[in-house]
Amino acid sequence: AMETAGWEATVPAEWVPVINQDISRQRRQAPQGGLSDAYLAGMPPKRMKLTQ
Amino acid sequence: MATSGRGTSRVLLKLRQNVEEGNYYEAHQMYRTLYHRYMAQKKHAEAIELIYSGASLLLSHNQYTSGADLCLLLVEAFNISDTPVVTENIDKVAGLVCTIPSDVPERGKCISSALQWSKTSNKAIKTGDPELHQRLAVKLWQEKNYFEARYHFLHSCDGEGCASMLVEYHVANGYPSEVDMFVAQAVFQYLCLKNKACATLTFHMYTEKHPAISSGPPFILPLLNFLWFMLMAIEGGKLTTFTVLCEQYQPSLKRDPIYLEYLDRIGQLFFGLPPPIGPPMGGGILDNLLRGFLGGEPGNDDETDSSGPAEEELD
Repeated sequence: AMETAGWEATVPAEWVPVINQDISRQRRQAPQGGLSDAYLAGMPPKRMKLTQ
Repeated sequence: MATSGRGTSRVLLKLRQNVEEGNYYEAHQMYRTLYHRYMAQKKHAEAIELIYSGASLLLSHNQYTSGADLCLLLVEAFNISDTPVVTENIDKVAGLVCTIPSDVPERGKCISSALQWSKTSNKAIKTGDPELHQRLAVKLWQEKNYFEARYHFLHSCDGEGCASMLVEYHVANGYPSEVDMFVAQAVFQYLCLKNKACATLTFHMYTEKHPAISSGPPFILPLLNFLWFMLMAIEGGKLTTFTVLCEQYQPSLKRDPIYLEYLDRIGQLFFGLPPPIGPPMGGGILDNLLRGFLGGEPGNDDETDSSGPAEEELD
């Protein structure tokens, strides 16, 4: 825990609790499922070709 | 405007009568003939006045193919006469294009030639004038053509319109789990186009207006907090903050692998980070993060080329 605490000094103090909460929320986060066509349509065209 | 004598106004009147009586074909050909005559005589202002009124008139009579044809001539006249890309002229061409229904095949040609003309406004913007993009975006949004509206909003300066459109688009066509991703995608892409103001406005308006985002900042969704912090880090020019954020929010950023590529570009554009070595597939950001930590905060050493390939990435 000591080693990972270094970042806390580099951001504004009031962000720290938010980021810490997000770190634990992200651990519980379900993996991203499939994405909608509407979302995928926003990708750059070149990338769309690669992912489809 | 152009006081080119009684001859012109008589001709215009005659043409108007032709259209009112339903002689569309004759009127269309007549407009074309006169247009070419004026242009040959270098009477550009007269040609523009004539062709604009002809296009408006034919379109108001639902003569879309001939109206679109005259619209193309208007843009041609703009190009030949070096007509400046200012609101008055953008209004003319956008106004015409916006009265052409989406299923008229010629509309696409009108849009692309208008955008082509609008590029003369600012050589640095390779994709066309932001004001024209905004007019097209709003029109396409009204037609519920979110896909194309989204493209034009990204090249406009209308972050508020973009946010409202994205809220509607997400609610109508996205998955609930993508509520934060819709705005993340737009914010990253605006930033890759060096449009920080629109990125910020889109973020704040979207999070404010979306019915599924009830509180914040800070938000319940980590990705939204990331965006909020990142925009502030960019504002403050703090590379270490940016790199910490990228690291602590990796699980959220990996939800769409392309986010890491966008962040690489953002690192280059706003923090002077060098481009990644090797193929751009997620590895770059880690390289840069590492370099950021090892080398401390180098500040902006202007190593990024300002022409920026970001536009190409999005086209």
